Amino acid sequence: MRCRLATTAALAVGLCIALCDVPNLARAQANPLTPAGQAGAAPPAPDTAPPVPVVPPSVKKNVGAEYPRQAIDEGFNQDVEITLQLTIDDKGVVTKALVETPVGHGFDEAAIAAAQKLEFDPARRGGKPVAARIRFTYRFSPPAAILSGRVLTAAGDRPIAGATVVARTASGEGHTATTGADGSWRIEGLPAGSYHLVISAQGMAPHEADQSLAPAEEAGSIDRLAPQAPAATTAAPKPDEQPVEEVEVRGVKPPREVVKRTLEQREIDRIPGTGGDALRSLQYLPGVARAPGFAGLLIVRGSAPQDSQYFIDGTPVPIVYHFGGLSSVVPTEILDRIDFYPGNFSAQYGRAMGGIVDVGLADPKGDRLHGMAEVNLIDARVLAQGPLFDTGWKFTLGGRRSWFDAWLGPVLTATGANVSVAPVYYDYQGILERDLGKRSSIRFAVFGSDDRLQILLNQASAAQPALTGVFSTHTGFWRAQGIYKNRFSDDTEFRLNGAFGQDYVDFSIGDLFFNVTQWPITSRAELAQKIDPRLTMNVGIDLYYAPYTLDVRLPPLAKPGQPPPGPFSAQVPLTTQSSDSIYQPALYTEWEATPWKGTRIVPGLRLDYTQSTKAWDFDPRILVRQDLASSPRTTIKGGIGAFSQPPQPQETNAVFGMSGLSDNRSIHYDVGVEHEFTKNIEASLDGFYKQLDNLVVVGRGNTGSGVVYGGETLIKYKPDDRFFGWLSYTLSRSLRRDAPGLPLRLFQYDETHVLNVVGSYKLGRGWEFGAAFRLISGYMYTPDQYGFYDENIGTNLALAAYPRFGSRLPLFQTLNLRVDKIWKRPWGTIDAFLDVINVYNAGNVDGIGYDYNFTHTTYVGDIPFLPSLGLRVEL
Amino acid sequence: MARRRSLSSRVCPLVAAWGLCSSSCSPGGLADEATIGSVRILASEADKPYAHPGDRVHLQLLAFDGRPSKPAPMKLYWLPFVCDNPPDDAYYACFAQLGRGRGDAGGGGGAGGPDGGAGGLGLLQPGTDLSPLLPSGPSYDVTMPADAVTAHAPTPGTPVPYGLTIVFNIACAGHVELLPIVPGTTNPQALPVGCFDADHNQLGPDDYVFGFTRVYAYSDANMTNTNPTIDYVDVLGQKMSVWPASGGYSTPGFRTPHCKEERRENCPKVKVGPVVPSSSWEANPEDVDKGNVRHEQIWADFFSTFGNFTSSARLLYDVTRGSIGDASTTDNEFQAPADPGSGFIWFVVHDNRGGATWATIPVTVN
Repeated sequence: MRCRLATTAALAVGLCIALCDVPNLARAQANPLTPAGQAGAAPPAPDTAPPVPVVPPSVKKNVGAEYPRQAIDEGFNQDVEITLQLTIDDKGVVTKALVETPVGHGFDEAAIAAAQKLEFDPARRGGKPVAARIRFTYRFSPPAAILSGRVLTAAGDRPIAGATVVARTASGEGHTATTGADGSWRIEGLPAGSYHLVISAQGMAPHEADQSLAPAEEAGSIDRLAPQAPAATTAAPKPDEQPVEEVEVRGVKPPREVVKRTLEQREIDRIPGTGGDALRSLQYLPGVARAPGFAGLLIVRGSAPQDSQYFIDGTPVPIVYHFGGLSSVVPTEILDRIDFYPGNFSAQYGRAMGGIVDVGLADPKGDRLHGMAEVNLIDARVLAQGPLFDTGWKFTLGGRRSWFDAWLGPVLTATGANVSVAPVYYDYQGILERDLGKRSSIRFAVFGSDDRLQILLNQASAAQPALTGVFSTHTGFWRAQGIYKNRFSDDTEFRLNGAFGQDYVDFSIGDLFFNVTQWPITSRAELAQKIDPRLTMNVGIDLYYAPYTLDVRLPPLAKPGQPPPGPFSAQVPLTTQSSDSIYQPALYTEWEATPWKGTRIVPGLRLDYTQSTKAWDFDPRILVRQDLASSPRTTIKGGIGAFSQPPQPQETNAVFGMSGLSDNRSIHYDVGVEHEFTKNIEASLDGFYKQLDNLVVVGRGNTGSGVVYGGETLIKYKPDDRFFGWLSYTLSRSLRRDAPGLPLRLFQYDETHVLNVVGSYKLGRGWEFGAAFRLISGYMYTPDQYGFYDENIGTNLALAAYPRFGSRLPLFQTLNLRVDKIWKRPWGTIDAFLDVINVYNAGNVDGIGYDYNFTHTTYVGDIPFLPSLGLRVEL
Repeated sequence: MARRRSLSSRVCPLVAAWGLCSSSCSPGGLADEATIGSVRILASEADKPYAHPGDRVHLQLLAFDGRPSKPAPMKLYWLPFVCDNPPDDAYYACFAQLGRGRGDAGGGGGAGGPDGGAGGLGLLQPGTDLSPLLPSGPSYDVTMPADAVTAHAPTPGTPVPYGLTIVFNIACAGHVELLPIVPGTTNPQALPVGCFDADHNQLGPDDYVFGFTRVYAYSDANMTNTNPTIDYVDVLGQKMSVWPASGGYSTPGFRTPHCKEERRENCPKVKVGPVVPSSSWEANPEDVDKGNVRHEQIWADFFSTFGNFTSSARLLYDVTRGSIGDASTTDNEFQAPADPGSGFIWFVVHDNRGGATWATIPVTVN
């Protein structure tokens, strides 16, 4: 993205004429001109008298003449000579100036105005000053122009030193500059005209742009380079500089989506209440609501959690949190970026109506061996990366294991649980990568996650006896992934991503169980071809194939809007055992057009096939961005897109689901504006509207519909040496209708107001302090009251209010604080931190608790005051 | 009285990830389910938890009126319409059948209502006192329809076809009236009847319980289920004999000193509980996991008219592990009240296929 920075600074390039004086004088002497004061006034010299030599006037002061503004404005861009006849009195003052051959465009006036400011030593005859007339020529050349600018990282706007900027004319003549420590560069003395700029830096994807220069114009730009994933290297930090890596959390990656939001790893590491967990930082972004605790859900713009998808480098993964939210399955240290698309996302993504989270694993560092270790109350982790001897390969090896089983196991035992396997999770990541020349690279990665728990609950719950006995869960996944990228030329780029692996969920409690294992094979391939400097075509395929086995014994799925059916024990469990496959291929294309400066139009098209519904979905999408001003940048934007989402596997299952379903449909509308107030302060305002149709409703079919509308605003201070912070606010309403004729009701995940205020400040001497405040509408819930007694189970059943989810819990608020103390040592850094959730112990409400017969209620609290200590060592 | 938070609620954050956590995740600080201070139905026992089509099934209720004051006595009524195979097996789906109930070929085993009952309550005006029309008493017989199984809508995922009959009853310290249908009411759970005093004031939750019992019917001869039995009652490690009563078991009871402590938690704890033989832990042919036929889950609910239990239920047999342990493991802890007196405690033993029995233990607090 380029933005013009500087005003046009006129260069005063007058041409006169110290050098011309001599010729002028020579001409004056040669011309039959006489000093004007002598013409007819002086008595003729006697013929016999020897001629008295005349000394022509000489320039004493010459301020020169500027290339006229009128000519610049009229696009006149040539060298011009203007010859004047000057009459100079005996005091050396120009008393008259005449243009011999007028040329217009303001040159004549410019020459006369300049001549009137000339001061001469008068002509002399016999040593006596006399008037004279001379010819005097001004030579105008178009003033030179200047290109300047700064090169920054796309994530975080950090300056890139040593970047090369080449400005090439149409004839191929090149002018080169190198950026300084602050990322700035400057090329002076450029003839006016059109230039093609190529900005490149080591490890970064080159950026190209076109720039037209008027005479005397100084055009400035800020160019942001994104990392070139396969070839990225990280410069070694200066000894006194804390190593800084970057993780982006982008609302939408430009230029193929509507919104862009960026969080650096410096921010993610320090956001209070997240424990430095990257994916948890998503909750502070506009458009993201508060998810029910420990459910591991992401609620984006009023969509159901299952409407959003998660990827690791383009490969779909089933979960992103251990135990539904304790921590991310990919540690922050190994992340390169998080792309977050809250809606209206690119055609390269599909099968979802909510949001997309695409987590990118960082390329291994290639300069030397690095290490990191961290221990906190929940887990311990290690990471090593560096070059693999002299093979050209670089590697990353990372792993993490929880250790809270060491203290939670005894706690559970003390409360009566017979713990055979206390909660344990681990994850691992391995990456091998190398460059295949300058333009291509290949990377292999293996990553996975495993959570398991087994306890015996021998204090039965009278309300839910089925949730008693042996409670066992074992969930996880692994992927083996290969990514090949090749930039065949400046105009052609190819990316291939293939992966296979395993997902498994083994869950049982009482007489209920759910065992599913699938072996997904996924592939993405995309070709990007620049057809014209202003037009790039992207075309790709996106395959998903997953054989699976299923062994389930569970109660029937609850039907939306219906009363609770009673305890699980009261329902005849449904059993199914099957082996089948999910097959969902897709084709897409997307075109990036920049028809004129500041405008970007991205139409796209996606074609999906869903085997379970035997249906094709045709999803057109378009995005338009228009820069209204370049410095400071102001951009308006908008987008419309169609999005399809296949029914969930359980919805089409022969036992738990129903036949004849088709895909859920949604249309996203977005409009917004972005404005950069200063280098560090930016703001955005976005409005969105989602129309939902053909929604699958359990027990009814594709009878559901709904709308989601709202606005998001973000005012952000981007990280500088000491501070970062932002304020975000989301206003939204999410409504659903289960079937035509039924009332439109608030959706159970509606959270109308979401306010986040985040800030962190480096106090100096290694201390950093941060605070984060959240104020969010309460969850929707269904009030229960005294109802019935189920005599088979021996428990009371509630009389549930109707329609369901018609009431809202009190407002949620929390203040989280974080303090870091960092010690720098020659071998690395030590970071000790205290992260405190809910500092003033606000009595937040997570739900409603009832007594056994639903006649008395109490609030179920959310996380109370919860401090967490941690220690991280980086080598 | 504080209710202990069930252990399952402590793991609910984990369970919630699978969406399986609901009302069991209630917090502490609420009324104690085990202590009876109102009109309560504690259990029902069907002599054939799994019946065959055409079988006559005898139902017996265990109910108790624990109100401190009793302006009117508690009576047990049975709705004489029975509900066969409601949609989705949902009890509330039966309410739509109220006006066209089939009546029942059975009849009251208690005070006796007219055989065939008052089917077609919808023909009556709201506000009508139904009590004279309703069978009353703690027992009731119902005959399973001959087509109970074949009339049930096919349910994919249930290996053995079944039929379902639901029988409704009311424990009411007053009389039963038909409730008016409120125009515009769309709540499918809207109650069809209410409990009223002599002045036609609708009574609250302390004065009535609206209950129901499901009886399943199978044609498959292998699908059998018997009620669990109780070998004896364990009291502080001593065996207390039991003998069958008209419903459940009776026991001689025991004595215990009253609590002299100022703080309830410091009161002495009497370990008590039912001892259920392993023969009651029946195989469940419908429950097959990885090729292994699993068994029933058996647990005990605890109730008392005074004092308190430290938990309201204890697991006795897990579907895979079997017995959780001997009495020292499965016993509950009873804390006597501060004042001397006489009362009862009950152990209601359930299996997860509708089987149930109970033991009634008189307790004297010195």
